[in-house]
Amino acid sequence: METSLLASEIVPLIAFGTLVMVILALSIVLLYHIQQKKIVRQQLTAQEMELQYQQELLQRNMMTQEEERRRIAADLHDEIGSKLNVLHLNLHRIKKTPPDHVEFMPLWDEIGNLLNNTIETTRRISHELLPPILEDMGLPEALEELSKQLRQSGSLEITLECNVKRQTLESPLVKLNVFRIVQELVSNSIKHAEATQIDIHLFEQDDLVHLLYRDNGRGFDPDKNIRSGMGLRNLNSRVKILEGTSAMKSTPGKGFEYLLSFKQFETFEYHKNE
Amino acid sequence: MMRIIFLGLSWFSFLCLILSFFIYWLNSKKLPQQLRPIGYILLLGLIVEIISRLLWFNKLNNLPALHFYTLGEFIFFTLLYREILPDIKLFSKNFSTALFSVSGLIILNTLILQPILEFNSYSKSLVQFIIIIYSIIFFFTYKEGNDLDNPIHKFLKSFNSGVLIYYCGSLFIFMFSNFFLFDTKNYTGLWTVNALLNLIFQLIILIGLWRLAYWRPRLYH
Repeated sequence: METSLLASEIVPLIAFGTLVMVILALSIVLLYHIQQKKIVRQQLTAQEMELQYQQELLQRNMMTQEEERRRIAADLHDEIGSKLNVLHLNLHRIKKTPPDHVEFMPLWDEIGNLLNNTIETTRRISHELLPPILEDMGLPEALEELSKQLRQSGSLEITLECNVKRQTLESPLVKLNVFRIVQELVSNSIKHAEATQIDIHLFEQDDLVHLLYRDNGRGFDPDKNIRSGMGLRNLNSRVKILEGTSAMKSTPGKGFEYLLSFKQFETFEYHKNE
Repeated sequence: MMRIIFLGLSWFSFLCLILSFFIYWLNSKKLPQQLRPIGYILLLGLIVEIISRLLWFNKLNNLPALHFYTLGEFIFFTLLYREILPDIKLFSKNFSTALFSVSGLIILNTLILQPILEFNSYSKSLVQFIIIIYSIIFFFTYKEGNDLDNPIHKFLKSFNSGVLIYYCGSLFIFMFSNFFLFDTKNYTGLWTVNALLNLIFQLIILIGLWRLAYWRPRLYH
């Protein structure tokens, strides 16, 4: 009798407990599914952004390639082509001029000078495309050579400090991309910032290689100018190739500072296939 | 009236269970190995349902089937969650010891505390509690990577949701099931709730398995 009484009292309690448990379970399930949807949305957004970034990168690479082709075409046409035309004319003239004629020797000298000039121009264009010193000697030497050329060009002071083990910079990927980054930065400092002093410092810290670049140019407001700069976008593409990170600091009138950091690449990738 | 609803729901659940089992059985080679314990759970459920219904028709106590089901339920759910959550330490360290210990407790309960002709509320509640824990662990740790549309992930997530809802809802009903013997009228209402929750669970499994076996995503052009 007592148990029966207890049972009739306990059944509503069990019903209430069951209801609470079901609500609790439904809440957990609902929260989980809401969270899942949120994650899916976030992943989709990230994928879309990545895709957009890849497309931009591809577009930029193609534009850079086109620009480079246009520049090479202009160099070939304006400098080598015109010189070869003059050479062609002079060869016709010399063909018609007897060797004992008074104009023969000056014409001969002119042809010689033009040939030397054309060879020099060809070498310059090819060096601009890919400095042989970068391939033959390495990044520190190529940067030293670049600094020397810029110092010779006039009113620019460049200090270069390289405190990185040689094998760290052996990878062709690192050599070429770091060199191009420095070239781009120097070009910006000269063209846009009108800098007179540039400091380049390569060093290792915490298993990372760092490139610190400073100039004393006009500087700029990063919030306003950073998105529009094609050169800076190219820099970011190269940073991505190096799987590194970069940061820049600049205020109008107070110069520009750029820090690139990337992990040390191993050089096996090229030897492995042999 | 409540009894009719209860019977209707339980027969409908039984039908869903039969369909789920046949879908699984017909497609067992196509379905991933990971889901094999679900096949065992369905087979066990089907055998126990048939036996308990046969005993019920013959006006015999069908509670021994529940004792048998509780043991199988614990083993197959543990195997299933070990398959889908292999990184959980609980399943990698001392797995066999834990499996045999709990199984031993379930058998001891039947032999000593709650004989085979009574509700095995202690062991049933323990197993339900363990399965609820598995299900919660699943929600917190299941990794599906970047493959967001994988139908197996979708099935497992809906299956786990069904597990959590059913086992949470039926925990107290089974825990105090021995009171049924003293207040049959009121307790039938609770069994009806249990049957409803079971039907939802069986429908989730049926729809999930059907989608996994026969449904193909539409290709958009």
